Amino acid sequence: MASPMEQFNIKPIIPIEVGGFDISFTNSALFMSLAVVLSTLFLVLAMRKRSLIPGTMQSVAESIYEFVAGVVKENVGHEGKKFFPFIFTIFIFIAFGNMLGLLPYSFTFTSHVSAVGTIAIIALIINVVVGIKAKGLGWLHTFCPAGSPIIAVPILVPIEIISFLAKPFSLTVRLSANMTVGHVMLKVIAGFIVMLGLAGGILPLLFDCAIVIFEIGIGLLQAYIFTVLSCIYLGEALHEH
Amino acid sequence: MTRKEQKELDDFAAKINKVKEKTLSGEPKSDSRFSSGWGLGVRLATELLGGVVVGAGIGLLLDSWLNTEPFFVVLFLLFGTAAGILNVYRVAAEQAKRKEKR
Repeated sequence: MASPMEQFNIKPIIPIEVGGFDISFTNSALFMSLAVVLSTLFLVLAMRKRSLIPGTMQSVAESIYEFVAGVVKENVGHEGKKFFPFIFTIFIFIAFGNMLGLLPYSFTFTSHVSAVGTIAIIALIINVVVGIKAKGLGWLHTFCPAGSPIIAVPILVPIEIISFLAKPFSLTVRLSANMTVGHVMLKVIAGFIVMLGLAGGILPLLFDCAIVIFEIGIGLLQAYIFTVLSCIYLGEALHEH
Repeated sequence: MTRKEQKELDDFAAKINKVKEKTLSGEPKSDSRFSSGWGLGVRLATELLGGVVVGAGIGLLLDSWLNTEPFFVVLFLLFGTAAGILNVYRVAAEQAKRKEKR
């Protein structure tokens, strides 16, 4: 039987190699593109009519918008409006990635540290840029709080820098670990269905159904958590502690 | 306008002001609708792990760059552990503050 980890293998679909670098169009890239295309299509189609009284699709799109706007407002504050497009993109991309990953035969790119880590690093870079823009060189006080004794500085500064760099790491691990665990569990229990056959397989089948529902919740929740934490990082860059 | 109408209007104005204050205030407010015990546990675990791993990574990079093995790995592993504990402390302090507010 197929290993439960096999679903996470990255396979090239269109092999491309440029200057010794493998930049093939992989199944991971395919599902990332799908997430972008589908989310754009969904939002454009849902908002096409722009009626005052929204239909089903439009109200879904509007409530996603309002939800993310609320998260940004709560965690970054009023000046967070500028970053709304960025935060909204992160949320919708991860949410669609998680949901697409639940379809049979699909690939969950959010289970890969490299994919999620890149998003987290982009959020970190934006945090740094915004922080320097908002506070100028005073931003460096993030690493060396004002009023710290000189003797403590050589120890304090590396610790603060590592603590700053560790944030995207923990964010990445949380999202990708959650997705990986969920999909492995689904696969393992699906294996039980086959092994137990018609007589006993109904129990793991029911359990798998429950996990799928659970996973939909986890997928959305993790997208939410990722969004909230990137908002909090942004808020930290803009406000004093 | 009767007194009752006036009172209704005042109430309405107060409501509007309340919503305005909520939406226009610059200070961030955080909510904890979704923070479960399990989520907090995973968060604390990954924060600690993150500090140690990032510290070790920086140490390894510096060592391979400056050929000083194993000096920087050891040093930054210590710094990383401290950073991890600091991050855990910060998350826990933030949670305690939030609980106090409620």
